[in-house]
Amino acid sequence: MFSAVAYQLSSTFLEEQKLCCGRGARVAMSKKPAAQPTLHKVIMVGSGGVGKSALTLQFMYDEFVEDYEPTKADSYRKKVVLDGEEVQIDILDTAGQEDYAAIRDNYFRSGEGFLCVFSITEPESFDATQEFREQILRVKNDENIPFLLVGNKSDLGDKRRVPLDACRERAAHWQVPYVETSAKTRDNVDKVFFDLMREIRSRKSDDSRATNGDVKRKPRRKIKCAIL
Amino acid sequence: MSDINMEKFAVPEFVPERYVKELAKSCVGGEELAQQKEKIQSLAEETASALKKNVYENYMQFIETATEISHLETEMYKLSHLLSDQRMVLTTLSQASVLGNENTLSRESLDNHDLEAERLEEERKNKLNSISEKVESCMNLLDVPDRHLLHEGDLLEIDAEENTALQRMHVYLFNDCLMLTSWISNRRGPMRYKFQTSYPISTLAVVNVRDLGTVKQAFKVLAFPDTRVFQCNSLTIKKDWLDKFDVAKNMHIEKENLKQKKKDSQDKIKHESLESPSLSVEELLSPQIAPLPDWLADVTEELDVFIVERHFQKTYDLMIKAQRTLSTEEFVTHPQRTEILKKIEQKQKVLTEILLKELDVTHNWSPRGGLRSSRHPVLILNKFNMTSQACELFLDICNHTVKAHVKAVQLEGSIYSYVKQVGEVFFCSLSDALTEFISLFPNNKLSAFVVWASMQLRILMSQIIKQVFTPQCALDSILECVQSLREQCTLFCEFGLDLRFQMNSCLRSPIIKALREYKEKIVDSMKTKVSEDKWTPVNMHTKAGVNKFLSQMENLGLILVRYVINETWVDLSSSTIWFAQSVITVQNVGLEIVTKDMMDVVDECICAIFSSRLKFSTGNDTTYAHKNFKFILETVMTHMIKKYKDKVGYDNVKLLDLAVEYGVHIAPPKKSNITYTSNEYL
Repeated sequence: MFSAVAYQLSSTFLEEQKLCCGRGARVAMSKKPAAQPTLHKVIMVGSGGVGKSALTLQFMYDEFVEDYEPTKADSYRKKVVLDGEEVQIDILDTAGQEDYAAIRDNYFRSGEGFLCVFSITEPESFDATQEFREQILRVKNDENIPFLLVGNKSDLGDKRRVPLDACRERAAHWQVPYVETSAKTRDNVDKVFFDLMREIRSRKSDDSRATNGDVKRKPRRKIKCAIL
Repeated sequence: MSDINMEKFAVPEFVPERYVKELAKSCVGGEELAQQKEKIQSLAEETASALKKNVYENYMQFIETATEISHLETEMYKLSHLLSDQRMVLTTLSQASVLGNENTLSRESLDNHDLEAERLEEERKNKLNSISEKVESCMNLLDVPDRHLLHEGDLLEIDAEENTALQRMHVYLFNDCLMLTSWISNRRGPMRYKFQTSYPISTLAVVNVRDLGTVKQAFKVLAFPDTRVFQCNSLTIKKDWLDKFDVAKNMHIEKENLKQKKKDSQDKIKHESLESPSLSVEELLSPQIAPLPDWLADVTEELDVFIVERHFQKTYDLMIKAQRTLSTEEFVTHPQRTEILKKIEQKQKVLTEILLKELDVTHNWSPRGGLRSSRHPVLILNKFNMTSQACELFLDICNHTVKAHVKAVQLEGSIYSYVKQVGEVFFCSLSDALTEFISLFPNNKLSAFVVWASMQLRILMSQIIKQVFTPQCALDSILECVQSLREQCTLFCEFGLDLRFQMNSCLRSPIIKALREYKEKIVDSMKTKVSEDKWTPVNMHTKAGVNKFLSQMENLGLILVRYVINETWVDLSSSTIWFAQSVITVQNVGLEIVTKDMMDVVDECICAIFSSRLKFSTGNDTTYAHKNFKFILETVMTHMIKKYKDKVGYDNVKLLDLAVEYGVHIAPPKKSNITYTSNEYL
């Protein structure tokens, strides 16, 4: 069963990938075919059961998974076209229930941008975002890390228990965008991922400009080339 | 002269050419040679027939042996299957014990703590030393006191950015760190590796890579600032690795918590260091909640083991025990309760599936085990409220056993002995099934058995009817078969299940058909018999022949001593004797074989035979024919009417009418009065 599903997923993904490649080549690619597009590392954080995996799977495969099975730590990678440029997104879907701080820090360290997800039907998950934000800032040691506050399950408006104002207020306080999504209806799903990638991209180009030719890492150089 | 005997041919160095030459030499003249040739020929025929006989004699044995061997073969196959299953279990268990060391240690430590610990310590050191030898410039593995190996294996490292293969690695996972080593190629002899790096467990985060384009079965190790991606050969290997990482992580957390506790309270130190190894991961994760007992925490694993080992009863017991314990007040609020209950439910599903499969006759089932072998699965399924399914499958098994038993009866000798044997076998296996059924299932399922049994009976009867009710089969042998079946059915009633009605309803139409056919046959042959009759007394030739005839007729109820004339002659014509024999047989057999509701058929047959005979007689007017006619009317008919009444209790009205028509005066008034005043009439 599972392998069949996996096969289906992988084959659809391969097709998508082909499409992306084709489009990418038409648009801008003049590099060697072996070279991989720029990689943006996104991390999903938030309490258990708020829909991190559901958002990820909806973004990856356009499907909504009803059954809940706690995630340990899963990673996904996909080629997408971001504003005409082909890039790769690497999504790390973390465990909401991961209660061992040292390991959680390890996950956070590998990320370049964060989607901090809570459920608008669950005030506890909204409260928890505060803690996640603090941990991320501590680990990354960066106030301006690309970060989106995401209120999921917007399709369950009648069960809403976190007022919109509170969400906006918190986002404003952190100086991050606030988006409401629904993994079920796919509402704003692409938006949060693409918005975050744009932030990561602009952040990277700022960095490379700041270092100004001090090319430590390959991807940065590539980015620079692309911009020039 | 050379004597021809077997021994000469039997010797191993027998050469036909030489033998013929010798023979030719010793013989004088063609005649003698011809004699010798004849002798040899007869000898050859003899041996050939002896050989044939031997083959026939052993033929059945050959067949039996062959079937036995094929049975054995399937049995052996099954056995080897079971054995390989168990070997798998054992190997997984032994592998599991490597990481389960702590648990076993803690359990056994109560008994012989020192010895066991020493042995384990020795093993651990040996293992680590052997790893150090294999890995060039290895770090010192023995510097951490309780480091032990959890998992090792070959992995392919993938470039995290480019998705391309980097290098082959051999990776060791210890309880406290992950050691990466690369292959040293171009080397002969045992494989050796070169130490690359090691990460402490606390800095590791493992990520299951669900989707990485073309790279499948990969996982990621995040150890800041490195990110390393490894590809496994198969999904199970990957799962293994992830599980082992989990184990390592949990052990690490446990240790950290222990340290924390030590700091927290000094008094507890001694207490905990004694008990520490037996503390389960769950306890430490949620120290404020009452810990689950070990057996309860491991209950799902234990269930798995039991299921694989096919201890179904134990599995069930453990399930119930766990469920009961979890519903006691102590655990009703436990955070893991629902999870464990859910898992137990899953296991229950697995178990029932296996049990159903076990009972399924279509699935590799052998009749050798008998019904008893299905007892356990059925009992457990009953407890899971799956009585109907179990019942269905059980009856299916019964089906097959009955079929196999009946099939084993061979058709040899008379049809009667076959039917008798089949009947015995059938009802025996039916009673076996019934006793087993009663012991296994609650009473409300008994109706299912009744339905099943009557269906089986119907199937059996249809088979037997096909073999018994054939035109070649004489009426009295049919009677014998039917009687033996009825007898056995009556015996079976003692088990509390009366199948006689079903049996009779099955037999009804073939019996009627057989009687009518027999009647037709007699009426048909009557014409030729009567017209070809020479109307003279019959010569029995010998005294013994006469006696035999007399006793035969006596068996039919006719005493004919006064018809014997001149010692060997019987003063009746051949057609008369034949008629008397046939018609009395029809009545005797008919009365035995039918049930009450078929009496009219018997009446009809007797009357038809009689009237057709009587019609013939009107044309004949020789005195001897007339005498015979009188015999038929007065002796045979009277006898039959009397016999009929004796047997059934009332008169055969049709035959009486016939008698009156032909002017025979029968029926002693006394007897008929008695019949009419008897209770039946009221």
